[in-house]
Amino acid sequence: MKKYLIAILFLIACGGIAHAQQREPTTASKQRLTSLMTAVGVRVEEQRLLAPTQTYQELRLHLTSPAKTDLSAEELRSQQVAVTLLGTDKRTGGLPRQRSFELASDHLLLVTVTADSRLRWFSLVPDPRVLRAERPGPTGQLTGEIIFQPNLDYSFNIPDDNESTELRLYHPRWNGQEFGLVLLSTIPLKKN
Amino acid sequence: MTTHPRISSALFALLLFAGVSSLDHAETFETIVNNGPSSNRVDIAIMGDGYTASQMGKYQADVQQFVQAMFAQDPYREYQSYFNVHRIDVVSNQSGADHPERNSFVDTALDAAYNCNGTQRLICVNVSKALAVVGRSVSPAQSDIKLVIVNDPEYGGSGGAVAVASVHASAVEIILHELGHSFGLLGDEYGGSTCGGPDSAPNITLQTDRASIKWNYWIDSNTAIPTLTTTPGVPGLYDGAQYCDHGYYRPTYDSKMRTLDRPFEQINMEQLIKRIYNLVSPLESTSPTSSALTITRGQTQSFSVNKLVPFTHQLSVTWSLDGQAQNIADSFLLDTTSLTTGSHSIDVLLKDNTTSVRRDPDLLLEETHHWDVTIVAPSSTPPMLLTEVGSSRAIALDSVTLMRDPFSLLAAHNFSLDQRTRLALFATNADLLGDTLTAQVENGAQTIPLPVEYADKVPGYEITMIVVRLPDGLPSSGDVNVSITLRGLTSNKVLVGIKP
Repeated sequence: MKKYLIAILFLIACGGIAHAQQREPTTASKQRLTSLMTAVGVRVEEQRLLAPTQTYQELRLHLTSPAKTDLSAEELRSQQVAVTLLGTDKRTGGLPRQRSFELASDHLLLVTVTADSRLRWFSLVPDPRVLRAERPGPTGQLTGEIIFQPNLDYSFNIPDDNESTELRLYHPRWNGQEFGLVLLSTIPLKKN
Repeated sequence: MTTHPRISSALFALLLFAGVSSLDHAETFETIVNNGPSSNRVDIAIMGDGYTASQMGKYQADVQQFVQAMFAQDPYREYQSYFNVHRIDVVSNQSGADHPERNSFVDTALDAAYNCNGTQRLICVNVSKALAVVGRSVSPAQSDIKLVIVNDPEYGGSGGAVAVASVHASAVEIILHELGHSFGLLGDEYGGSTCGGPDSAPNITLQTDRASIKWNYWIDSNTAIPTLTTTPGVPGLYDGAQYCDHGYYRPTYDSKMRTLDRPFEQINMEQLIKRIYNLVSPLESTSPTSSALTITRGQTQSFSVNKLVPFTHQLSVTWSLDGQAQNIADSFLLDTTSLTTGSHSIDVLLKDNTTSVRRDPDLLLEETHHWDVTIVAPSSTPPMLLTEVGSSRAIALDSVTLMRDPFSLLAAHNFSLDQRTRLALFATNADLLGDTLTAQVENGAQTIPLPVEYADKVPGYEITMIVVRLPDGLPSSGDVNVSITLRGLTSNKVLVGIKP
């Protein structure tokens, strides 16, 4: 009985989600996305971009970055990352849709692509390897440091999509004028 | 794209029983701030650590206090209706957090510990456990921002993918600062000894040439560059940022990205508002939901939008028809009477004209919606007066007594001063669409007009009721042929009996 009740509640909740109008990235954001993705060999075709899904996959990963002490924080973040897949869960619910394609050097760009390197989905997420230790002095003025965690377990949520064959992690790297994308890791995705 | 609710419900039912993770082991959660669908809101998921079952009341109070304090500060105050907040009730076996520096350890759900990485005030939690709690309790759309509040009064916290703060009085301030990084993509505006890094954040620059400063459109032309004033809230170019005392520049003398208990100030505020609009469209929903409509010329069609509502200002709504601006309101009534047949377009533009955002190259503060409208000519089928089955006798009623024919031309019981009888006739294919309908009687070679006093659709039916007055000149008895004409098309002729 309890399961049926949960199911009913689920249906009600999900019905509401389905009704909500879905958001698209703005035109300017799409242009920037296309430019950056093309530069790393990923084709962006509007009709191949994934429509919002109502299920998603939670990928539990172990990330191992080189712990080189002679590199700057920015250089450390751009080093290749060894990724071990610890587990996958398929879950119900929608993923947030980002209208902007604004990048930041302390974030990661997640993209899923098809076998022929066409973009299906993207998301900018805080880089989980970056930990900020900040504290106020007597006047409230802050001091702090950025701690880079070379080894950690983390989970990323990606859409549940049979056409996506790879998840790619990119580090947005600033060259003083604009961002470029540095590929950190590629994670093969199993078909459902 | 919208999904039919029945289809989506069926889909979810299938998924539910097809082995998709259930919520069996989920922590309970309560949506304590609910402003709308998570698909168009910034959703904050708050977890507690170091709260035992008996301390859930304290946890709820701590979260409530945090939420109130957060939404008391701009831009979160002004845009509070753009946020939802979910409180996830995580129960720990013991209260507080680990303090390895004094060899004090407790058993908590998320393993919160001070002295993380050798920094006393740095609290780390087990991020995997925190994400697992979030994942089995709320959906990703309900956890755009993830926070952990640690039940320990000593100052501490950490920023990153999951922001952490103790219940110290500065908790809200440190979390707002950390959200400036993780949510707002802002950089640190304080100096220090670990100088360097990219000047990519919207509030950090290495440029000292006025024209090259990212936020130069905020800087008054009279403000010196670099800027030396210590007056708060004066946009300029201030030396010291990005953990460097010199060489990296910030936009105001002080802000929350430099010092707690300060406002964010203009440049950071602008950025945070744009980040809110990264996840929230100003346009909540539209009506009609279909973006392609076919309308018969002469009909009207109502269009409307449901928009987001900031705390103290309103979003503008502008409608246009075929590119020509129409009215400025939340709804628009399209009257197609004067439109040509063929394709037309209706567009609506919603825009947040807040003065807190001066530059929005990605047009995040606005949203448009477009409808393709095809106007078709009214039907070319002649109107048809309704008759009794198998007969050409009209279904016609005295408009006062509702009695059928035969009718007297005059009636004493008539409410009209002229005492003349009015008939109600009924017709199909007689939608006026703004045109004029006429009625007439044929009497041999003579055509006598019947004044039409009323004609309109019967609500809920594709039938038009027509009320005509019986004029002088009609035969005083016998049947007459009545017809109506609309848009040059004349109906069938129906019999109406007249009596002395």
